[in-house]
Amino acid sequence: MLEVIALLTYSAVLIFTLYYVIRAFKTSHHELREEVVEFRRDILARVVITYKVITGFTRSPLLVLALLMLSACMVLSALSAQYGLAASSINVDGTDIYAVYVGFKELLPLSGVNRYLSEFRYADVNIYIRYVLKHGLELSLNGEKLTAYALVGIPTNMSKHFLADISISDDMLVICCNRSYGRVITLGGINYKVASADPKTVIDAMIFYGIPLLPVEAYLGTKPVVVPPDKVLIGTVPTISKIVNSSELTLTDLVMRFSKEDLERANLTALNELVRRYGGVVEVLRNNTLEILSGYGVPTAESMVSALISAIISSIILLTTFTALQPTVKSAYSRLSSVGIQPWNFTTMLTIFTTLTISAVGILMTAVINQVFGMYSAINSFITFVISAIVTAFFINRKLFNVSTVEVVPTPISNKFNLIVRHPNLCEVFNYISNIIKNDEFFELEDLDMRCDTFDGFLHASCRFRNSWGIGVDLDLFAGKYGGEGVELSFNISTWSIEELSEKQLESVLRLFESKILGGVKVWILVKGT
Amino acid sequence: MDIGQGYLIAIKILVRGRGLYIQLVVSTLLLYYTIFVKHPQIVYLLILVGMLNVLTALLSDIGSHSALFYVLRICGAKPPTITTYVLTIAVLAALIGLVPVIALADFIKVVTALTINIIASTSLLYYVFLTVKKNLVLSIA
Repeated sequence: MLEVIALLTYSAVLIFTLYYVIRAFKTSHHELREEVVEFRRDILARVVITYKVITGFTRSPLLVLALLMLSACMVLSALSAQYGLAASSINVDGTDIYAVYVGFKELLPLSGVNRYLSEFRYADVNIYIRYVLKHGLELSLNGEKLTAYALVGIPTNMSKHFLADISISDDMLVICCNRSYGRVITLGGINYKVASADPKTVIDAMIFYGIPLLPVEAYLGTKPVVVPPDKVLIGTVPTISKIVNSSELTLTDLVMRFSKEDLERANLTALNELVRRYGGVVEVLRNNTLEILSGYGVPTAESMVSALISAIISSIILLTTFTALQPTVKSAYSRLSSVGIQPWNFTTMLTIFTTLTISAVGILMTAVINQVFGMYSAINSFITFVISAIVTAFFINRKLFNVSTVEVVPTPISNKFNLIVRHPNLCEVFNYISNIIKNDEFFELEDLDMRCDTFDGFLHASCRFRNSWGIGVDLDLFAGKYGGEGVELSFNISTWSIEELSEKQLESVLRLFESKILGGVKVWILVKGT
Repeated sequence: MDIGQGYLIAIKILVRGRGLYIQLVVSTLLLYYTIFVKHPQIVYLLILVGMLNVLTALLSDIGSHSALFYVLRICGAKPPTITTYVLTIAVLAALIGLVPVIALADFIKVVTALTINIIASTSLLYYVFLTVKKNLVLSIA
């Protein structure tokens, strides 16, 4: 009920507010609204022109060539990507053990790992399963229900080491409980004998330096939090493999013990390949030092050099191509300047556009490379792309597309010319000129001062260029007697700008104004036949 | 003006322009991949990059080529002179573009790369020549 009342209240308030806002705009801001509409139309026209000019720029085959080269360099960088595994080492004094541990993230079939182990025939290899179940495994024992959340598979020869005096076999399961059940449990249609192990012994058991027998559930800081021992079912590796419904032996951990000499001559790079393929971690314990190789790759120096060289090649080609585009850029600017686009506006616009185009291609290529060659190659390509894009954007902004530094000459632009008119009515001429200025579509009259006599007169007009802010034109017209029957009209037109604009742009504005005045007076002369 | 030997003009234009130097620098940098990257597909990519490099180098001097074609037409150069000029530029550019590929590729790939480079650069120069020719006809008319 309360929700309905709240909804009705909000709706009423919204309708009330909207009604008054619309009413307020309708009544009091009529003139302002017209200005806004005109302003929007103006902006829209500029956007359309800018869009057309810029899209003309994109159709250049040079740009396509540049983007093709960037893509090729990114692929070049991807093909030459090389990554090694991230490594760190810890000092572990007093261990005097020579061993290697390989831990996988998932349960793997032993057959997949075996071919990598052929390198370590002389090592004492033990495989383990430390597996956290997705759903609890319900067990019924002496009418009491137990739930196992993790399975641990150990080698038969290591059972006494981990479980005190319990000798484990393939038809036996161990639960960590202080009570002794001494019964049989049925799992998957197979009967297993049940034995109890001391939970404390199991918690303390380590399969390798810093690696507990019980599976790690989470980390509290750097300290591992293991699954509670009373929620773990321990068996031999074949038994646990059967429980997880695997037709062959599986493993999650591998421990290899070596003699000092054997470890020194062992080819450990095979393990890098193993971890890179299946994910996980390799730990090597030797000379009282623990070396940890994670499954995460880091780029090698060669890979970085390769990415850098690709970026240099790509940047050189991109800059050369964009330099060849300079005439197109200048032509585009001269067209856009007539609608009041400022040089810095133009440069910024073009830089953003070019950067966006390069970025679109770069990101697309990175995604494709990621799919085709993998993540590490994609990272290398991305480095190439980023360096190329930054260098290109910087240079085109500063040098290539910077029309302001090339063309801006802050000199006042003015023009003077005289017209001789026979038998004029001078005031009529002046009124005619002032009307031309008042009704001009490009210029808005700001100030008009006019004095006229039969043969002498003066007119001063100050106008604002409608298409651009801060640009204007001043007209000074003097009339004086010329010979016996004519009048000489001396025009002095000058343009001004608040900003430093190029000579070309100011001249365009001047010519626009001049053509209006001169054309208008010529028409008047023709009509009057003077 | 002696316009009988198109290849001499071509060499002068190449040496004075920056395209040749850009191409040399890029080809030298590409040698890194030839020497250090052992990937079965790298050779195909180097052929592609070499071709793009040739085109870019020619484009960077396109103003000089265009101006020269204009002068050659005005001075009444015979078609063989222009052909010699175009072919000399194309072959030189193609040969420089071949530098990163030559150590990796077999004979067939080298010949293919050379042919591709020559065709691409000749087409580009001929296109420029046609544009100049067309503009010249229009301006005279």
